[in-house]
Amino acid sequence: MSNIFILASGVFKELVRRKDLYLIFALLVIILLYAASLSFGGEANFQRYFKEIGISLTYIFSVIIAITFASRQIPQETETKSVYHILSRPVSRLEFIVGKFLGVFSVSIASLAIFYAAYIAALFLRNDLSTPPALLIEGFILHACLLSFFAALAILFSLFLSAASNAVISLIIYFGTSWFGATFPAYIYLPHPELLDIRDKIVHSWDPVPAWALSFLVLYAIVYTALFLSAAYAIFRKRDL
Amino acid sequence: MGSVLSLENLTVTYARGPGKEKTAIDGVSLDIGGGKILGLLGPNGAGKTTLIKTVIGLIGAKNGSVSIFGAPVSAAAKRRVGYMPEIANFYWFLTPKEVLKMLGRLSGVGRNDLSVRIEKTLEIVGLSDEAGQLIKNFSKGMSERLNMAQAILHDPELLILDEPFSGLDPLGRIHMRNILSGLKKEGKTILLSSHELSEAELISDDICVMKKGRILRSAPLAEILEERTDKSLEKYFLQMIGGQDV
Repeated sequence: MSNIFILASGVFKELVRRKDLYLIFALLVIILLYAASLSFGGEANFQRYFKEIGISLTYIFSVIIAITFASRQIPQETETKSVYHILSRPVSRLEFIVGKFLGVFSVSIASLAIFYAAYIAALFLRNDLSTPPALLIEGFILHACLLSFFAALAILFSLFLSAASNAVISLIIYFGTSWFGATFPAYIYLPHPELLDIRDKIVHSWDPVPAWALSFLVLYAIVYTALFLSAAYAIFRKRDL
Repeated sequence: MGSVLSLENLTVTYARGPGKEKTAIDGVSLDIGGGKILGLLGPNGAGKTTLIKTVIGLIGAKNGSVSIFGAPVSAAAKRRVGYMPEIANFYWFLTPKEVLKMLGRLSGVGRNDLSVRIEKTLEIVGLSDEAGQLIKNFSKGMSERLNMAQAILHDPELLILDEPFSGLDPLGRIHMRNILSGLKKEGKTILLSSHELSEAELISDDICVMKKGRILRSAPLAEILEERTDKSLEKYFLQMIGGQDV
């Protein structure tokens, strides 16, 4: 277990020093501040519009971070051969995969916390206190589950796709399932990450998700994350490096 | 001292399309005694790197066995092995200190010993002044030195070095040679693959010549040179691999 945390901490340190993360932060903050300064279509309509834009950007940007960072991890290590320094030591390939996942996941969660803080700050700026805190907390938990799902999926895809194709396909799955729902091709055969998306509840300040449903959704995300990582391990276990 | 690394009829193949495979290592058996330096020589494609990667567990063998310190390769055995890959690539956005801390902990070095070992290792390879710099700013030579540092950090008894002299300038080579001589004096066992015959000749006790995945000869360097009137390892090597007309 300790090897996993050592690897995850290395990934975290490396990723937070990259400029691309801060570019995404800056972009989100600029868009949010700009949107917060606007006003059109009546206060009530605009309030809802702003909440929707803000939370949607938070979802999209955090998923982009999780997918792009996860899709680069293993290909980068195997292409540059830096993986040799790790796997020549008493580290199993399962620990390697889970460590990489956990590193990306922790960076994604840290980014998500910043995005939510920026979003809540923007709501305060507009004097909008209509969203119950419990709903925002639930949104954050399920959002974290969504990132876990996509980070694990991108790690699995990274074992047989290039980083660019991986990012494109993972994002198509994200946008496809969350925008097109049941009309998305092969919908019934696919996992349903859109179940973890409670944007509408946050935008319209609906009732929070019941505890049993929240637990079920968290479990759903954990099961899929574990499935994707197990499949990644099954592929990577016997791979010659 | 007994055998530290032993290969028994090792065969490694690569898949080359459906139903086809290429034999990279063909029934190799080899023993390295404790405290010795074995120079693994061979032309490009001889199978040196594949052999090393199989020993380390990065590539699976089709047949045969590898034992380190008399037992099959295990996590415990890996703690006693230091590996320096041919390509020195590290995480660009970490410092040498951070990389060594991570790799040292993965090798099982205790937290208390680790900082002392990192300081000492950086001093040995001459990177103490660059310990806090991001690796993305490193030259090739500095990366090579860090590559050596991570291999010796946990004070392994067996060192496996893949082309340790490649990418080094003359001064760097002398430094590397001195490090290896120091490790030999400490009683470490070293397997090194090299294209640099002159370097291998200067530090090896035994020489193993490979070609097309097979060992052509493995013998003490002194014995090989004794047989030759010209006392030249280079000419012996060229004769062995069939390149004497070059």
